[in-house]
Amino acid sequence: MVQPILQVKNLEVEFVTDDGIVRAVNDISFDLYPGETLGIVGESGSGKSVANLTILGLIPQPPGHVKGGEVLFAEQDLLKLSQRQFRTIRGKRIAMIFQDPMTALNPFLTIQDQLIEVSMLHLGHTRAAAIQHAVELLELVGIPAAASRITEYPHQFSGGMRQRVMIAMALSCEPDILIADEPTTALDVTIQAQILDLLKAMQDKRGMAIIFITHDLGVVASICDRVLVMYGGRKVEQTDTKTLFAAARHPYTLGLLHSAPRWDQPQLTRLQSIEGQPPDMMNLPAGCAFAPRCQWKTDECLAAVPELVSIGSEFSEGSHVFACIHADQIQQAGSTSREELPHA
Amino acid sequence: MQVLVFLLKRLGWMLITVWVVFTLSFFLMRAIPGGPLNGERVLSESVRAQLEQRYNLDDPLYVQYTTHLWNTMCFDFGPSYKLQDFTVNEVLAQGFPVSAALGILGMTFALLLGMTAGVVSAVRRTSIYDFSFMLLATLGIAIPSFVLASMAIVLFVFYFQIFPAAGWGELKQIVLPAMCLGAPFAGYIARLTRTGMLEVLSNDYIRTAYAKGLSTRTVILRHALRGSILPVVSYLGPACAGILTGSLVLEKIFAIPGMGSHFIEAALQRDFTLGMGALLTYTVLLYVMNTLVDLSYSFIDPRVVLE
Amino acid sequence: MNQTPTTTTDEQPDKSSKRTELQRLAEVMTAARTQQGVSLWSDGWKRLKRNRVSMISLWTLVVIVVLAIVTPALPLQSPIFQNVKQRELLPPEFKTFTLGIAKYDETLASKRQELQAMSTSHDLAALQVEIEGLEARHPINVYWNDPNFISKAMIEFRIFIFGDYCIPSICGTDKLGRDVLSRVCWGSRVSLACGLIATLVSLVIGVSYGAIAGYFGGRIDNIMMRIIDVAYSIPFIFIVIFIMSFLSSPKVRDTLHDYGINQITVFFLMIGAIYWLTMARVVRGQVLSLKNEQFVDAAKTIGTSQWGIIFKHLVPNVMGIVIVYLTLTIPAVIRFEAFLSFLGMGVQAPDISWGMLVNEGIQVITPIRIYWWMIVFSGFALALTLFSLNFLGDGVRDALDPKLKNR
Repeated sequence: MVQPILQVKNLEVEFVTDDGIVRAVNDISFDLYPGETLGIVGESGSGKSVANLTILGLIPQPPGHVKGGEVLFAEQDLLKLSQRQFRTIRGKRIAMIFQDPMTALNPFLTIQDQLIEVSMLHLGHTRAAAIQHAVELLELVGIPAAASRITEYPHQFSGGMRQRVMIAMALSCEPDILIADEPTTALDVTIQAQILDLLKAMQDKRGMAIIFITHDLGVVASICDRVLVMYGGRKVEQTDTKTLFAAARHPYTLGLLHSAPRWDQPQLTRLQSIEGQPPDMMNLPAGCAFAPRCQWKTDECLAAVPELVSIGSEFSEGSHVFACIHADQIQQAGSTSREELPHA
Repeated sequence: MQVLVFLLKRLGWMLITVWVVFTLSFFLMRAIPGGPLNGERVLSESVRAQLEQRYNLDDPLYVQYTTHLWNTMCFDFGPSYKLQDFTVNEVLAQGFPVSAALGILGMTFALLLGMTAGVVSAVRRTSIYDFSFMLLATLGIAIPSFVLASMAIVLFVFYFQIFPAAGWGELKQIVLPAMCLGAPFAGYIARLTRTGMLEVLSNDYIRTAYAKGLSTRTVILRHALRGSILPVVSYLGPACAGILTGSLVLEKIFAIPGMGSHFIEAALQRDFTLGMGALLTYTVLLYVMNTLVDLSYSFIDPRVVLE
Repeated sequence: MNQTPTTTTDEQPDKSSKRTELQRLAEVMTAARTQQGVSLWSDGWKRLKRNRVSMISLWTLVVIVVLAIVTPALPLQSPIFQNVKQRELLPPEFKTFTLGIAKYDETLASKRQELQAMSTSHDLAALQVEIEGLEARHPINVYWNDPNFISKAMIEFRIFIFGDYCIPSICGTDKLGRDVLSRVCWGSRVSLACGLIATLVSLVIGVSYGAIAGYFGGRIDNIMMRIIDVAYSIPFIFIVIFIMSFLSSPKVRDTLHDYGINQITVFFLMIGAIYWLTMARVVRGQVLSLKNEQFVDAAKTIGTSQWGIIFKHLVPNVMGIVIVYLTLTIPAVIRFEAFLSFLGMGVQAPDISWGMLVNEGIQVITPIRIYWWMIVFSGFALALTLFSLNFLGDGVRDALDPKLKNR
């Protein structure tokens, strides 16, 4: 039995604002195993970024506030660490790359300055050694003429190149876990594929676990082993990638699947959108957060938040967790609709 | 090379500006009824003629203008109207170092105090430090320096007797005027730094820096400070102008023999040549300061292209 | 959140679906009509009301302005009447002080009665001269400096209500025995008026210049902005000081007076004329980004003239940011007026301004005796006004332009 490297248990995070309390993350739990890639999918505002920033202790407090739960890593609860202890983990054992490489790099410092400070801090490198290390990393992530370009500023790099620099920075200390927060969203499609390939290659070489946050199911299909779907700050479905695409059991997941173009369907098929608005995180409905947009909703859905149901044993092929009382119906609808969509 | 082109361009614009100032003030002074020699004393005809010749006032206007312009271009501002035995250059050479010392000290004080208060306020946002620093800053901005100076004199000179009332030469004499001079700018700089810092701290790259495991101090000093002082740097130009104006008042209150005192005296006495000399010196000074500010801006922010 | 869901009908729309579509649109239209749009102003006012510091400042300013307006009707002592021998530099006191108008009027009345009873022509002429002299030196003409008709009416009202009663010299008296409280009140009128008028001048020049440069763009914009660039590097303050010193010479003042130009007016105009540069730049920037909006095209299509577009359509849209800058300009102008008056180059006696009062205070500072009331009250009035204006300005800026918050 493989031990999970990171365990998130019943995490709850809220933000206190002038207008009310935003409950960004409600009772999220998941395990991350060494060497795997876990995708976290949801629309913007669903709490996926907040959950992961909390793992690294990076949510601003105040207004942010961890209400409950624990994050177990290396036999300790990260949420209970002091800032000083946390700093020995951030960047060294858990690293993060962000969505927009245009703004995630400091425009006032050279690439070199930003790269070497990581290894000087965590690995105790001298400046010269750190520069050597940084050049090797840049070459590793595929930046041509790394030794000469290292003294340039971020604005002299293209978006894809900057994301490569971000990855190099994150890999600097060979972390156990890499959290990638929509690393490809801000990039051109061709560059996206390159970055995904790079991440896969790096994972093969270094054997780290990746948490991959995205709203793009295409990306999920190409890189993730398992997927967790979030809606309204809650976990609504979790399973392996194959099962998710073959037999989604939550209406939101199904909606996501239908709204993405698929190669196995006629080109003229209209994409379907999920009607309605994302939930107001300040007053979540009493029942299922997705119910107002759901075509299968019944009175039961509005009464109480659906429990998470689990099928199959954890971390085995076909294990499936979902939070919907009409799951079977939806799975059926998913498989039939795929065959019966109108051919225009 | 780029810097050289930039400086040459700036030099050109400076000459234009100086010429505009010269022409503007020359004709304004001449257009105002009661020429420069119409003081309180009634001059006899011969004395008047003599004086007019001495100051080229008997030539036609355009000749006066060109002569004066030419002399100015050679940095010769001519003799002072009222301080009979001095040339304007001598008076300015005497006053300039005094004013410069006062201004530099005041500015240093403003920068040190303002930036420290601003950074602390931003980092400890909504704390008691933040609140009191910003209250003080607004006070500093709101209260005119001469009100501040007069209250400071009442308090620190006469009541507590810590500082001497006036004069120039000792360090003790320069402290109080420099602090009064710098106070409003310290307030403004504190607010600018705070805003700049808050804005920078909300940037993604600060989160990146924290995600690397850097300490708050390193993040603030290495990653945030540079971006957050940009508004301060661009404020330095107007601040220099403000310091120059402020020194007029403070030199008067503290009886400091600087350029400001001479300028005020020249204005009150209608000393045309001295006033013009001081005016042009101020213009050049401001222009040079603004150019330096633009230059330093491009050094701090690598994305800025000089033009 | 009143967004209508987007419809995704993929078949050919037949009649019934077209009907429902129309119906849906009609519903949307009615919904839109009943929905009260939140205007920038009401929204801003709501935000401003929540800002306690700004509201305190606002009320402080209201009180100050009202006091300044009704100053002539308040039972104050004369701001200009000198009484060096008996009342020089008195510290704050609570002894009642009377104007003595009633007694004066009595004397005048008795003289007039005497005149009626007179018979000899020689004495008659002498008495007539005396009465005329008394009338000319009547307290109303001596105690107040040439008040305009509104102020005069207010002064008469004050005499009617309060008679000879005056508030005691609770703020002390100055070197010439004049009441400091009264002088601070009268000084507020000039200082505040200067702030308003000069700001209005800068507003008119700045907004027109900026709007024209921004709207026409191209070469006109280029030239107009170059002029502003040059003007920015001119130390106008020094030039104004120089000009003001010339204007303050008695000869020039008399000449100006012959043309009917008040020196204060020149002063207001001049200050206003140098504070428009920033305003022009800001307005230009806004207009540049606004002029490509569709409402401008719409105005063009219905044949609005260029000037109509600039002043009817563009200028109202930049008023938000203009007001934000106004709140910065007003205190700056008041401070500058005080600064010039302090240097003795602004407002001239017998007019009074706060800067002048502080200057008078500084001049009587000696190591032997501290006449603190000469500085504290005028300085406090000036500082309080500027302080409130600054805080209100910050509040207005936050309220009208949330993006600028904390700036």
